[in-house]
Amino acid sequence: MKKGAIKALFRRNVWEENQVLRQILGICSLLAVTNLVSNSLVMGGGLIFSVALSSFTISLLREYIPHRVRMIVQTLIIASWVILFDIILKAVLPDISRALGPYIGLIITNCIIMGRAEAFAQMNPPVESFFDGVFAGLGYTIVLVIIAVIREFLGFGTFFGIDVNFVGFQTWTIMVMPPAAFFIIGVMIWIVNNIMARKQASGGGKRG
Amino acid sequence: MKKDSYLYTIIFTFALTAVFATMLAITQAYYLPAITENEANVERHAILKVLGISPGDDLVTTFSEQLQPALAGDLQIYASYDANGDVLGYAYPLDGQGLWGSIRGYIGVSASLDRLLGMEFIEQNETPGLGGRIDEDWFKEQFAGVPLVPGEAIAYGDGLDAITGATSSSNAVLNILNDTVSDLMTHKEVLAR
Repeated sequence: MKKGAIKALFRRNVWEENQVLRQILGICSLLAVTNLVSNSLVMGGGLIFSVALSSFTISLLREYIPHRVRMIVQTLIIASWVILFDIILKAVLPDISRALGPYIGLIITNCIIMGRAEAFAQMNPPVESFFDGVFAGLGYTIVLVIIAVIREFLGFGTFFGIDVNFVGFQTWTIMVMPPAAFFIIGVMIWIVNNIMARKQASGGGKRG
Repeated sequence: MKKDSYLYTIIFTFALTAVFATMLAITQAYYLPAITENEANVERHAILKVLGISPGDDLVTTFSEQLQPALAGDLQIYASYDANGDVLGYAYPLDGQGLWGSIRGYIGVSASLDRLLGMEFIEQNETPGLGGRIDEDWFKEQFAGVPLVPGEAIAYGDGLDAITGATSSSNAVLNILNDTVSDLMTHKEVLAR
């Protein structure tokens, strides 16, 4: 696999076709976990691990999976990796496992994993699929963390649990609740869409 | 065999499921002792904490040296003792419905059952960042020292704060606590000797 290919995958998954901002996937978990930066990082890490391994496995088996049951097979593979991750975490890092609680199970239902399986891993070699998964997860994690920094600051007056509310402003309870993520993600999508539209208008000839 | 034939599909699905299920079963069996031990340690830690005992360097040793298991009805409780062998307090299991799932833990009560020593949760599924804050120290610590008056339920107010934006979880904890205390009082004859 060429170096340029990895770079292109990175660029596409993190920016041009960002799972959250451009494809509007993974919104459900985004609403739930972005009220604390630490939760978002952990969720992002779990997703990167799961989507990379699932895409790798699905790509390895892609020649053998019968077309009509491919989705159920994908779900089986995804669920197996997530449960495996959960068991190992419980045994080896019990403190982190306790802090994560129900999030691990949530990873199985994250549409990004199946999205990558359907859109990429099914028709590309394993190593490419693995990196595609890593970068798709990374793009998701970056958006999560940006939203979490805003929500945690306005909602709790903290950053990573450290008090940074120096001005002593009144924290907004709405920022702690899931709807706050809707407002922020809406604004972010609007900004990114604008940038993309402007790019296409000015230098559309350069890139397809 | 054709890839889209029924037979291939069935064999493939069964085989793949068997492979992954076996992989998970082996991992689970391999790690089960460690997982069980971790869970037991979380419980030991909570029990020591509600009785105000520091876990020290070796949690398991401290636990077996400082505490005596006892039975209240069919509930397993633990008693801590002072140097003279008198009971200092009891750790009594707490169990009930939270907003999203069951909440399990322990409360510590003084030997004469007249005040709370502490409260800890072992399991809770409240919304992280909202109801999940019932597991934060400031919330749990305010219950230490709350007097237990027969016939009077514990309520938020004077020196006891609920969590902003998580009224349901806060109230659920209070209800579970009051249920646990009234349950505990039915064993008063056995315990407060």
